[in-house]
Amino acid sequence: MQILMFGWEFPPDISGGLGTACFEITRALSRHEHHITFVVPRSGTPQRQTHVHLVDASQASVPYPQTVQEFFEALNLQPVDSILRPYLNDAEYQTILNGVLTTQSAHPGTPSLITPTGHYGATLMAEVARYSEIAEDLALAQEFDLIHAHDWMTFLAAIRAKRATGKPLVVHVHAVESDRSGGAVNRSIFEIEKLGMEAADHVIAVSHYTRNLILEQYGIDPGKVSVVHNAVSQRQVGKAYHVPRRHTKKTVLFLGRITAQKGPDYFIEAAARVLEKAPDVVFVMAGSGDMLPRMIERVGELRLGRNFHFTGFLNGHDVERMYAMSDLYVMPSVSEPFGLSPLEAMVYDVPVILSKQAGVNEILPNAMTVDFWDVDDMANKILAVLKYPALTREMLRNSRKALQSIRWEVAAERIQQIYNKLLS
Amino acid sequence: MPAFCLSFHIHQPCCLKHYSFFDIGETSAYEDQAGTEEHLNSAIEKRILPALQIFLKRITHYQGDFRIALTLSGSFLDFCEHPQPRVLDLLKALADTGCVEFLGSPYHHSLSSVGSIQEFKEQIVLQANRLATLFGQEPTAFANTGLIYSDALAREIESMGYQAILAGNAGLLSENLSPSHVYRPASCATVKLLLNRPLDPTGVTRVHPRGKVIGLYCTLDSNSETSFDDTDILAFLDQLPGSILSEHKGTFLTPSQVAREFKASSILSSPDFHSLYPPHDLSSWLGNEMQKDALQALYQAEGAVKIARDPALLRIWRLLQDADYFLSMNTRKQSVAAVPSHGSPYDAYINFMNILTDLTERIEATTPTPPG
Repeated sequence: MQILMFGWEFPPDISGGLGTACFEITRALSRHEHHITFVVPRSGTPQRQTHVHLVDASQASVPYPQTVQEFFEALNLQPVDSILRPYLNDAEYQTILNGVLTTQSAHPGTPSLITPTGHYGATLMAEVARYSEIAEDLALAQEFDLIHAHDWMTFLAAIRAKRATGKPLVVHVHAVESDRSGGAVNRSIFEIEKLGMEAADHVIAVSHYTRNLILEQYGIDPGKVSVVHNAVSQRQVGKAYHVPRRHTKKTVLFLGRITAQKGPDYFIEAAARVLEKAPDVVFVMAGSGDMLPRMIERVGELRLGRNFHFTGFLNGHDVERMYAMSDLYVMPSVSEPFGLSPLEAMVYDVPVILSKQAGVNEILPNAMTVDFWDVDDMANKILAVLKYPALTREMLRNSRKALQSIRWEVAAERIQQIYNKLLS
Repeated sequence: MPAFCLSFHIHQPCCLKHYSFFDIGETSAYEDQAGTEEHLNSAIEKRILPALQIFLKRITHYQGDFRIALTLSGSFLDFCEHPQPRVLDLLKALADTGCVEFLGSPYHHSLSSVGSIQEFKEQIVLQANRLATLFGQEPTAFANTGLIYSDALAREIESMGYQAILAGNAGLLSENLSPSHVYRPASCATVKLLLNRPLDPTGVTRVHPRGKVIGLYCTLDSNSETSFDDTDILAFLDQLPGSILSEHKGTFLTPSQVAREFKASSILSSPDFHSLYPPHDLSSWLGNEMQKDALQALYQAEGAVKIARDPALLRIWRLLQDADYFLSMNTRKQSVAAVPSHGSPYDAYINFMNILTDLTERIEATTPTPPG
């Protein structure tokens, strides 16, 4: 089967779980003899370099019968020149756009990753519209049986491709606008999401939590909305167990975008309470986002600086190191359609405390959960994990057991069933 | 037709308050009295009181042909004394019929048989004294928490003068042995072992019993693993004596009567712990790291709490031994804890350990540290 897939990001240039999910889904699907053309916004140069990097990152994949070469033969990565990034809002888009223009004028002669061009859209929405036009042209040049689009930024492109070719459309919802915006819903984004889901022949939600939002907020026909949970790469599982801890102080980790959706403020309040009882604990907030400056200020106000560290945005290897250094991972998300990072933490043998609101709980029956707003309970549980070692042992025992069955192959299998139904 | 030996277990755990890490050293109010009374009253009204009334009615009606055994936790009797004297009155009336045998057990429905033999024996004595005071009966048959059983425990129980011990039949017998006989525990001289299956309102009438004695064990707790819908079980209990006596021409005996009337058919050995509940070992209570850790931490405090000689601390320490707290830390889905839990098994463990940490600190504070 030939699949035209629209995504936001693809490794190694990823800022969230979406890129990982797209990589793993396409990888697992291509083992079922599917040929995938993956269209992704990328600013600047053609991504030869990226391919090389990808190959390196994947060479650990011994358990896969499929060679990396075969994977890339099956996957046709089609970068579209655009400065779109996942999780953008209009202000952030303006910043990036200004940055591009500045780079251009500051280094007129130097080769840059950013293609010197003035043709990007003036606003986020203008750029999304421009992107969808290019993507459509690109789509019409390809042979395919079915269109599969990941999250709102690709939906317009996917709808145009469907209109132009009449091929069935699957939209894959990793998050909806109310998840990301924390209440301040951007109507344009909401409308694009609604348009995409209405136009779709089938909608895939990453959790029952997300499926409910799709039904309630967007009024989509329940009969065409299925849940396919995300998973965790088994080659990671094999590789990462038993990373030795190199430090003596107990470390508690927050890792994610520092935005209202992820609840970093609750993490800091809980940290303050923990430090009242256990002054030696170290807290790390890894990631970047619009709330970072305010979070740094808050840590200062609470005089937690000695025990609280900000790493900024971390990339692949540093993320791994960060997990390996941590004794506990906390995900206090206000809204979390799925939440891949706790699965990654579990792979590194780090116990996790999850927000009750996280979709990933649906596949982790023995997860330790808290209400994100209940910072007292969060602090209580953090202290308990650090103080009672049997708790860590039990949590790791349960997560190892759970990880065995959380496989991308299962997700790909379910997606394939949906494809087959649409094409039969 | 064999004899039927019916035993009913009644216990209600004390509800614990939500006790955070931040409460350690700040407050020592662990018990949720309102919650406990609410659950207890509900269980008494819906199930326990009606069941006891049925027993009394049927015993009176069959004039001594219907007999049962009761195993009541000391904690349950303590709770009854204050808010529910009606229950005690009814139990005394049952004792006066001479057709009800009260079984020995660890006072606090504890796992002391696994945690500390010393404590186990102390709780058995406490329970025996309590039964003697309330009902004028010294127990001579023994039913451990969850019918936990092993050869070593049998020797301890025999040494305390008991003549019969109840155990579950499933998983204890090799294939060629009948569950409907009386056995002698390995390396015991006098005590006899009575095997029990859980009483199942849907299944017992379909049993075509062979052998000498059918042991049936039923818990009347509010949420326990072998309990059923209240109205169903009450209707079943009401019809059971008539069904067995008239239709099946069977008889009823209590455990001590069984021990007196039947010889042990052979020796039965159980070097490992065995229990009534599937998978018939200790894993319901001690199957995971949290449960094992909590048990170890609890019994590590035994020496200090007994040296401290503070009745309030000793009472709390014993209360925390309730097996139901360990059940609520069980991460297997099929297990249902009788104690209203504070959420997940993790929550149950954290709450328990926070309380135990505070209690341990209080115990240590009463003990002067030796010089040097």
